[in-house]
Amino acid sequence: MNILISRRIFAATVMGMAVLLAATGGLRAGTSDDPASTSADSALTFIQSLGDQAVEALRDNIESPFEEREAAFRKVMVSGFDIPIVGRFVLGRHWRTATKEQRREYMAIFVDFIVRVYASRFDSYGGELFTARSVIDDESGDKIVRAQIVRPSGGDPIGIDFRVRMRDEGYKVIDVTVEGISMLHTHRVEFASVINRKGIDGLLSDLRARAEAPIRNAAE
Amino acid sequence: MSESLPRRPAPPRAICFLAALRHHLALVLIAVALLGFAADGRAQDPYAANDPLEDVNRAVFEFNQAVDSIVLKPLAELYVFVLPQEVRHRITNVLRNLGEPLNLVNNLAQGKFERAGSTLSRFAINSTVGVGGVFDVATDWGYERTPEDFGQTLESWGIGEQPFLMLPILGPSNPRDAIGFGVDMVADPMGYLLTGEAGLARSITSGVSQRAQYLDELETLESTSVDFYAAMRELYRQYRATEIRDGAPPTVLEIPDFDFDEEFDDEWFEE
Repeated sequence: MNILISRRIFAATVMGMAVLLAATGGLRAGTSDDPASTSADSALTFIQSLGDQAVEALRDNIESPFEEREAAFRKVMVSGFDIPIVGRFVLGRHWRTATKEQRREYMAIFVDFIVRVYASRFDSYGGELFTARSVIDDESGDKIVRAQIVRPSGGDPIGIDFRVRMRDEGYKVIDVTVEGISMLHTHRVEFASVINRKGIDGLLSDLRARAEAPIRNAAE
Repeated sequence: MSESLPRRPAPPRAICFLAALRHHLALVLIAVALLGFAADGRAQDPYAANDPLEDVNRAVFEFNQAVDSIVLKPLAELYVFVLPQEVRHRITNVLRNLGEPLNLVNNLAQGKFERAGSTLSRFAINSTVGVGGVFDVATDWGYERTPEDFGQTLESWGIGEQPFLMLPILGPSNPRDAIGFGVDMVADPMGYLLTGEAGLARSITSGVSQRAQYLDELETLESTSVDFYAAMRELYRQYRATEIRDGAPPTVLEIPDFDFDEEFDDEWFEE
């Protein structure tokens, strides 16, 4: 049948191509990444240092329970992130309908929640190598620092983009995009979904439950 | 059809059933996808859920979670427990190599000829020098992996994602990707080389291996999200958008410089 013949031709073509490419392929070796732009050194240094501190916070306390690692991680995160901007953005239009008490309560719980989210996520990568690689100037005025986490366990490296904004106190992170997925965007949609079904107080109690939940110790 | 024509020996009944199922599944996917098209909410807000079938989708998600906890997750955990990381990595390589012909077809369908060339080179190199894909020699030689599927091809032809769909077993999707998945199943050149048990083994290994790669991530996500369904829906959307952009960074969201120097006050946050 034709299918059999075409399969043979296909196989033969593939083999032929393979031999050719195997002979010439070595010539294309060694395409390297662009070196980081020097004009954006300070943003790059900021993220590299923040990443190193975060890795250290989790690694130095590797023998301790998760709560202690989280507390060390929290200090790093609160100093490096503009948490009020993040929290306000994530609540979206619901900020306006929230009462003053709800806003205060939300901001207080949001810090605990966001620290828990990032600490558990970074903790699960485990003893990783963190490298800030390059900086993109965004038209918003913010800088996007592209970083990579290489896991000792192998597997594909994880690409993380930090969106960094210059504030009075220096650079602050306002969004983290893991493999193209914006944490801010995801949380905003998720929070809106909870508010639509349970109202703002429902969101507040759900956030509190998540932030206070006991967590399994990923390092063990 | 004449009975006197020479025929190949009949494959076992189970395999006939699976082969038929494959084509039926493709048809079912397309039917479901058309339902999704009909329900399109056409939301413009980037934060809108665009999920008109949310009640059904949530029910399907519950079902999927139950199936996952009974079947897929235990299999994935066993896979990780039994096989060392190095072996699992090699298996992933082999599976990816088997996916290259379909990547090639979709790269060509999108007019991405340079990527198509890279894909063809990868398949040729890794199938031979890389011993059937066990070793990803092509990446070391500078030929990057350029995965494409028919959902992405449809997007490049101007067919948007449409509303969210949670498919039974297959998980998060949308009409574009559901049709894409159906077409990929039928169009995959490897599907015609690996028939019967080989094809089945490939599908099962691929499912288990992919689930195994997300064991920790999904557990962390579930334990830290306030609405796991909404989080998965959003993750899927952004993940697919990233694949469609071939890994380029996403469009940056507009994040205003909220002023927090004063006490909380209504007028700060007028947008």
